[in-house]
Parts: sequence; C-alpha cells; structure tokens
Amino acid sequence: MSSIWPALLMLLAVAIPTVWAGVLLPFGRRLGTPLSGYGASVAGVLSVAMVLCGLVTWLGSAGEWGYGGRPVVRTMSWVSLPSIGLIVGVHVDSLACASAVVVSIVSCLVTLLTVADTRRDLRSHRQFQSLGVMTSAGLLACVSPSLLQLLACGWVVLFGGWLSASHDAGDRHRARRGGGVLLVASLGAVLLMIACVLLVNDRGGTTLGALANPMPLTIGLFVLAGTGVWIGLFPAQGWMDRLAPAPAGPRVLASLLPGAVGMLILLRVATSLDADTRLAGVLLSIVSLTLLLPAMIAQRDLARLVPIVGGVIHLVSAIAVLMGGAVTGAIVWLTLLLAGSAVMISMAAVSRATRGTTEFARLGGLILRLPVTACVFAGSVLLLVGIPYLGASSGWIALQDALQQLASDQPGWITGLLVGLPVVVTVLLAIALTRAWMLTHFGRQRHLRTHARAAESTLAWGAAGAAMVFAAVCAQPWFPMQSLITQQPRETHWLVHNAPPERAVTRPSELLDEVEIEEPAVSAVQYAWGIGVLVASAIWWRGGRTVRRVMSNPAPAALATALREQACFDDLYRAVPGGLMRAAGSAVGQADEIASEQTAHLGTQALRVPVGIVTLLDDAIVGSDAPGGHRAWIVLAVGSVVVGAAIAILVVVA
Amino acid sequence: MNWLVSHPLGAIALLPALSAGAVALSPRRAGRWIALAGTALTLLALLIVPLFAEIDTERRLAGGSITVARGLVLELAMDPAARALSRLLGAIAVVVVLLTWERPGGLRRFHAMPMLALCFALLSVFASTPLTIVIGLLLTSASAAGLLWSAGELPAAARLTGTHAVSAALLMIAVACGLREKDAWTQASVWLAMVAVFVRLGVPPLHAWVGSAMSAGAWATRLSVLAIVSITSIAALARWPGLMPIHADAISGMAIVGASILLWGVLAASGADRVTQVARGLWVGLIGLLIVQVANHQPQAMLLTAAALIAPIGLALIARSIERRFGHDDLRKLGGLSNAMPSLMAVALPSAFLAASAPGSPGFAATLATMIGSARVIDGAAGVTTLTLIALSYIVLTLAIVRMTRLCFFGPRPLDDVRQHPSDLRWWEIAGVSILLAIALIAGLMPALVLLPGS
Repeated sequence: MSSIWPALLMLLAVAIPTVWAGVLLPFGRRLGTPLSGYGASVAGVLSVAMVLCGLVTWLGSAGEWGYGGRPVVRTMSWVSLPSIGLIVGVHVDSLACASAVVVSIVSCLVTLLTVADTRRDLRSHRQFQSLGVMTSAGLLACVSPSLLQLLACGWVVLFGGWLSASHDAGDRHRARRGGGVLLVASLGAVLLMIACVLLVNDRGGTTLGALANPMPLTIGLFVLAGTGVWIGLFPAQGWMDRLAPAPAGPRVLASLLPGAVGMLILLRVATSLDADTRLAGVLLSIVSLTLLLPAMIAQRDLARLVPIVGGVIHLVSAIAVLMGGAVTGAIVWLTLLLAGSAVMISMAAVSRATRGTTEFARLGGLILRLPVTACVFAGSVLLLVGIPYLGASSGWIALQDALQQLASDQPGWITGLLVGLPVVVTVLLAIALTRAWMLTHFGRQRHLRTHARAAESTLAWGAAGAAMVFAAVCAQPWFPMQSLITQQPRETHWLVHNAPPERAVTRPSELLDEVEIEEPAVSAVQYAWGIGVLVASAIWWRGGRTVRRVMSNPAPAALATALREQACFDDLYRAVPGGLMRAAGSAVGQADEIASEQTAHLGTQALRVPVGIVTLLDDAIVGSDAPGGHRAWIVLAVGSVVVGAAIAILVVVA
Repeated sequence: MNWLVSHPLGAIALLPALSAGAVALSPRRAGRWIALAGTALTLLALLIVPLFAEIDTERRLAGGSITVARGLVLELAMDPAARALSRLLGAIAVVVVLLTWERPGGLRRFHAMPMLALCFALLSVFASTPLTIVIGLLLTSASAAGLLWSAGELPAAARLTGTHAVSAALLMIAVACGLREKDAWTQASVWLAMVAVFVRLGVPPLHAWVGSAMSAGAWATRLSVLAIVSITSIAALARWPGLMPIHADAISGMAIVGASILLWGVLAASGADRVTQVARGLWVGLIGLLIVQVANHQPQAMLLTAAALIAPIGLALIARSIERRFGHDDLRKLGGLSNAMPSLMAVALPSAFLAASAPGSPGFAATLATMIGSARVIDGAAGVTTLTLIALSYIVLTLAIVRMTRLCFFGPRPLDDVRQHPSDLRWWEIAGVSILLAIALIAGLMPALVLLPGS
C-alpha cells in the first residue's frame, strides 16, 4: 500500500467540513436551519469515517511506514523565501491518528448536539460554519508537520470560537465579550510567531524534527508562552470565560480545541524543553489551577463551567507532559479529553433542554423532566473523575505513577507537591460537577418558567450519551486507541518520528489475540476516594442548609462572590505582571539542588497526607489480628470516612 | 514602436488599451462583453506567454530595449516579481469589469478608463530600467487621477495629483542623480527613488490622498485607483536597479521607522470611527511593513505585501456599500448588519479575516517573513525593537478588526435607523469581491505557488 493513503484520508477528513462551511457561507441562509445542520452532521460523520480509515491504514501497514515504523510525511514549502524553511503539509503518526480520532468524533457529536440546540433558530447556519471551521482546523492541527501549521490552526480554531461567541444579533455586550477570544488568538500567535522566527534563524525551519532537538531557553519560553495562552496558563486563563456567550455546542468545541492545539504543540516539543522552561510551565500551571479550581467550585453558571472544566483538563495535561514526558502526557491528555468532552457535551445537553437557561439560580428540580439527561450527566462525571476501569481512570493512574516516580527520582518540594495533584484535582472536579449536577436536577423548582419549558431532546442526550460511551470504551486497554497510546514503547522517538523501521512493535490487532492483558491492581485508595466522592455528595446534598447558613455570613459570602465573578482575577491581572516574574524567578531559585535537599523530606511527607493516612491504616491492620478477607473492607470503610470527611471540609470551606 | 509590438510583453500591455477602444466604439450591451473578453484575454496571456517564451538565466523574460540617449534606456522585461504582480493586476482588471457589469449608462467611462489605466500599469510593472519605471509611474499616476476625475471626485483627484507630482519630481531628480555614475550620486538616487515611491504610496504625513481615494466614487473606481497605484509602486520598489542597496548603518533606523509607521497605522485603525478610516489605517500600516522589508532587503516579501493590500482595498469597497445604503459608514451609528445584509457579511467577514493578518492570509505571510528577515539582518537592540513593534502591531491590528466587526456587524441594529431592511449586495458585486478575496486567500495559503513562481 502506498504511503500516500493515510495522508490523503486525513486531508479528506480536513477538507469535508471546510467545504461544507464554505457552502454555508453564501447559501446557508437559503438552505435554512435544519438542512444546514443535517449537512454539517453528514460532513462530520464523513470526516470521522475518513479519520478512522486513515487510522486503520496506519495500523495495518507492515512496511517501512506505519505503526511502529516511520511516519508518513508529505510537505510542501509554504513560503519559498531564500533559506527560510517554512513548510506545511501532513504528518501522520500514532499521536496524530489518536488525536484526530478524538477530535473528529467529539466534533461530530457536538455538531449533532447543535442541530438539536438550534433547530428553531433561523440564524444558526452561522454556528455550523464556525463548527466546520473549528473542526477542520483542529484536525489539521493533529496532522501538522510544523510549528507554523500548528500556530495557524490554533488561530483559526479561536477565530471560530470568536464567531460563535460574538454572533448574537440582539446583544452588543455579548459581542464585546467575545472579542477577547480573538485577541487571545492573536497574542498566542504572536508569541509563537516569535518562536518560529527564532527557530528559523537557529535551525532553518519549524518542522517537528527541528522542534525535537533540545532548544535554547529563549525559544522554549516563547513556545511555552504561546502555547500557554491557548491552554489557559496564568495570566491568560481569563479568556476562557469569554466563550460563555456562545451557543451550547460551539461553546464545547471552542473550549476544547484551542487547548488541544496547545497540547499538541507541547507534546511535540516535550523532549526538547529544558528543565527551567518545564519548571516555569509547571509553576504557571499550578498557579492557574489554584485560580481555576475555586472558581469552578463556586461557579453559579453552567455555561461558564464548561470552559473552566476544559481549562482544568488541559492544565493537568500540561503538567503531565512537562513532568511525565510525552508518552505519559499523551495518555493523560487523550483520556481526560475524552471524558471531559463527555461531561461538557452533557452540560450542553442540559443547556439545550432548558432552552439556553444556564444559571443555577434558575435551574433545579429538573430530574423528573430530564431523567435521561441527568443520568448521562452523572455517568460522564463519574468517567471524568476516574471511576475505576472506565473513562479517565487510566489517565489519572498514569499521571499518579509518573509523578510518584518523579518524586522518588528527584526529591524536592515541587515534585512532592505534585504527587498530591491528581487526588486534589479529581476530588475538586467531583465536588464541582456533582454540585452542578445536583443544583440542576434536584432541590426545588427555582424558576417555574424554565421548569415548564424544559424538555428532553433525543438528539442532545444521544450525543452526550454517545460521547460518554465513547469515552468509556476508548479508555479500555483492549480498544485499539488505548493500545495505540499505551502499548507504544516509552521512548522519546515515538513522538519525534525517528523510529527505526526494524523496531518490533506489538500491533493492537495482535494484542487482542496474543497479549494477555494484566488487570491493573486497584488499591484501597482508589475505592476509598470513589466512595468518598459519593459520601461528600450526600453530605453536600443533605447538608445544603448548613452550607447556605455558613455562606450567609458576610466574609464567606464576599469571598464566594469574588470567586464566582472572578473579580479577584482582575485585581491579580493588574498587580501581578511584574510580581509574577519575580515570583517565578524566586521559585526557580528555590528549586535548585540545595533547596531541594533541605525541603525534600518535610515537603514530601507533608503533602502525602491523604495517601499516607490510608497506607498507615493498611499497615496497622496488617499488623493486627483481623482476618485477611476482612482487611480490605476495613481499609475501605476507614478510608472512605477519612476521604469523605476531608471532602466535606473542603465543601464547607468552599 | 517596433520593439514594443514585436515582443509579447508589449502586445500584452496594449491589449487592455485596444479593448478600451473597442468598448468605446461598441454598443452599450456588447461593450461589457468586449471588456470582459479583453481583460480575460490579458490575464490569459499573462499566464500563458511566460510558459512558452524564452527565459534567460536570471528567469527573466526579456523584452526589447531602446537607448534614448547616453545612459537612458527604455526596456521591458518580466522577471518573477513582474510576473506575479502583472497577474495580480490582470485578475483585478477582471474584477473591475464584473463590478461595473450592471452600469450600461456609464459603461464607456467605467470600462474604458480602468482598462487604459491597466495598460499603463502593466507597462509600469514590466519596466526594468529607471527611465522606464519613471515613465510608467507617471502614466499610471495620470490615469489614476483621470479615473477619479471622471468619477466626479475632484478633491480626491486633486490630492492624488498633488502627492504624485511631488513623487514624480523626486523620481526625475533620482534618475538625473543616477546618470552621474558616482557612488555618492548613486546612493542619493536610490534614496530619492525610495522616498518618491513611499510618498506615492501614501507614507505619513502625505497619506491624505489614500483616505480620499478610498472614499471616492464607485467600487470600480476605488479598486482601480488603489490597485494600480499600490502594485506599480511595489513593482518599482522591487525592481529598481540594484534593489535599493541600503547602507548597513541605515538599515536598523529604517526598520524601526517602518515598524513605527506600522504600529502608528494599526493604532489609528483601532481608534477609527469610520470603516474607511480603518481601511486607511491598515493601508498605512502595510506601507510601514514595506519600509521594513526594503530595509531588510526582502523583495519577495514585498510581493506578499502587495497581495495583503487587497484586504484594506476590500474594506474600502465594503465601506462604499454601507455608505451607499446608509449615507455614512460611521461605526458608532451602525450595528447588526450581519442579519440585515447577509451577503455583505459573507464578503466582509473574509475581508476582516484577511485584514487581521490571520494565518492563511498574505498579511500573515508578509509579517512572518518580515520578522524573520529583521531577526536575521538587524542585530542587538534595534532588532529586538523592530520585532517588538511588529508583534505589538499584530495584536493591535486584531483589536482594530475585532472592534470594527463588532460595531458594524454584530450587536443590535440602531433603534433610530429607519433602514431596518437595507438592500443587500447584488450578484456581480458578490462575484467581483469574491474573486478578489479568493486571490488574496490563495496568495496567503500558497504564496510559494502563486506569488513567487520560480523563485
């Protein structure tokens, strides 16, 4: 088989949504809403089919190229200026295939949801245009052979997001808010353009090969800064809030794809960033998470929760890439992206069912009117927070393993701090999403008109359910995509296309027959925090009155309001630019070898308290006279009470 | 004249003029078909002839030459830059004919004048010696002023004539200096020629004619004037003998001045109250970018800038359609046009996309190439300053386009505006602007194939 086929199929997958968006530009209004939506859905399905064909072609090749061999690279010179090596084209490898499958399927499901969402809106053909633009750009980013093309794709994705968020004929304020998205696109593009300029002068081009070799600090910082703007690194994370005015479906895609392009860039440069750049990226990610997580928990609008969840997913993935390497980062990113998209599509399905009402103050008690949507929402949340064996659990486990390995290899207060990251983030995600779920579906009917007009849409919850099933299935070890990610040898050249053709690689098809899949051992901690989440939810549900009473006090109420409105972020933006650099420099200084040695022991022990408690309990029971069969249950019970109590404390504080 | 007609280049350049004559003598309805055929034939010839003609080692399609006096030579030639720019001109000529399709009453005026201007512009683009370039630019300026005058826009014609007269005087002095054949005089000639061309393009503070030309006449008039002036000027910059050898000491200063003008232009666009002013700001900004490219010695990047100038021209056309329907193009009094005029929105949005120098637009390619050139050629603080100014300009440019698009197309319609259902664009207007935007988009997506053949 010729190596042209994977490239051709991927290009077709990119072209189909583009063509339909181009058709809608002059003829969308005449075609009308249902037809333009149906056409977009068909284009989305065809695009998925092309991507899957490309994946099969890539996996099935036994020649020099293909899975385990060399990537398929077809490029052309974009600007043939003297000695400027700027190329564009197609680069198909395992990461490109896996990410293209995820992006195409999520985009297709979002399009289906948008068909349900905008059936009665005469102007919604423009939303399908922006969806087509975002889908094409996202897919093209997956198969990009150069930083230049990734830059272009990220810009165009945000352009689509700007169109969606800005276009509302009746609200000038919304149009003004949406403009921030395009400014962010421009800012990120400028930083990456400077990185391209430096790369061209340093290495003669911006190809993935040029990105794979160790790069100077300056170039690395510009790449990180440009990527960070799109991912939502501090101080750029505020732009995600600007996506809230967009309709439900495009909001999901616009929240996910810019970060996805940023993650692709980070994955491609993961092997070449130096330690200082990585440290800066991790510190900024932690600061961003520190700001986003409280805002997520105290959020009072489902529409604003969607981009915040997207930001959290990408920030965790960025930490995984920077600290765990490209392969771990790819696993974490793709599994979280899958499960996160299921959650976000579920939220969009709720938004569609309530005809665009997204404030928690107007939702509530919808369980009887939206039973299926509620179930899909709950299932998606469980997938994201890492219910064992399903959804993003493999990603969380991979992240935990990588961070623990890092902490033992390079002890220090930062690595010790990071060990607790997966537990903290999953718990806070569980709290925030469970809160959103319960405020939406349970309690009293807060707004009678919303309650009266709320109605299930088969297409909407079908899309959300399909996303949930997809996220659940794709994370399994026996599924080709998961094996594509996890069974790859953990070598750096997997992502930088220097794999020798003679390298023996187990193919996913062979994996099904020959390789015995070892079931991952589920520790008591995993069960414990899973049940702890349920306990916390119950406490939150039944203890709502207590929490409200606490929150009615002036100080907590003021704090919560500040977090909700993110006004504190504005103050930070004003005060921080100079201080941030000083803080980053100070942090980098503290992370040197001497400081690490001094603080390693104390920091590591102090930040492993949640895990340590359960481990100590386990050790104590091992030493006691309890029968072996009952030991696990005792650990489970004690652990769940401890984790649940911890979560409950966090809930009350929040 | 023998050398002119005996060679394909001369024949190609004369084709639009012959078509203009035929249009003038033909019945009204037949005239537009003759005009379309003439321009299409010209474009076809520009595309095909270089494939079959003999090309020398420098990839030039040499034309004949005449020695007028000692040191004064008239010569036409087609190198890659001339090839790209002449094709751009040919395509714009087709668009101009399409834009005047439904104006049989003014057919002769609207078709004959732009085609005559196209003839002179092609001669100017093919000119390869200083004397030929000066003559070509003079003829083009005269035809541009004639276009404005024939459209009844006397103030705009006067402004353009005055500015271009200054430019022509400087150019003639430059030719005279160049005849002395001594180093200092040659340097003076180069600098004078450069200043003359930038004055002609509308470098601040002599850019008043740009705004008035953008506000003058119908679509065809604005497009013709702006296109022929910009493309012929850039051709002169790119093809001036010696390609503007700038002293090393002057490079960094010139680049900083150019980048400052770029920032100045986009800042003006971001605070503009009218769509025309936004377009003028973008135009001035691109002129600043051209100055940086001249300083960095990037003639091929100038071709990308020539394609990027289509974006402000497109905005000027959009301003004209808004002005025709509402009597003004004041951003503070507009809003919600995306629903009131969907066809206008369909062409305005790609124009905004191109004007914002988005990836995929020639503006992006030109900006990136200029940044790479600046980083290579200019060292130290000057290089960093130039890069920073260009990067800052890129962000401000986005701000300007976001603001214009939001105020003009999004949001609600103004309550005090009685024209809640204004007429939308006609099919020939959509077709014309679509071709123009497609040219720019293709030039941005595949600049290596379209604008820089064989380079």
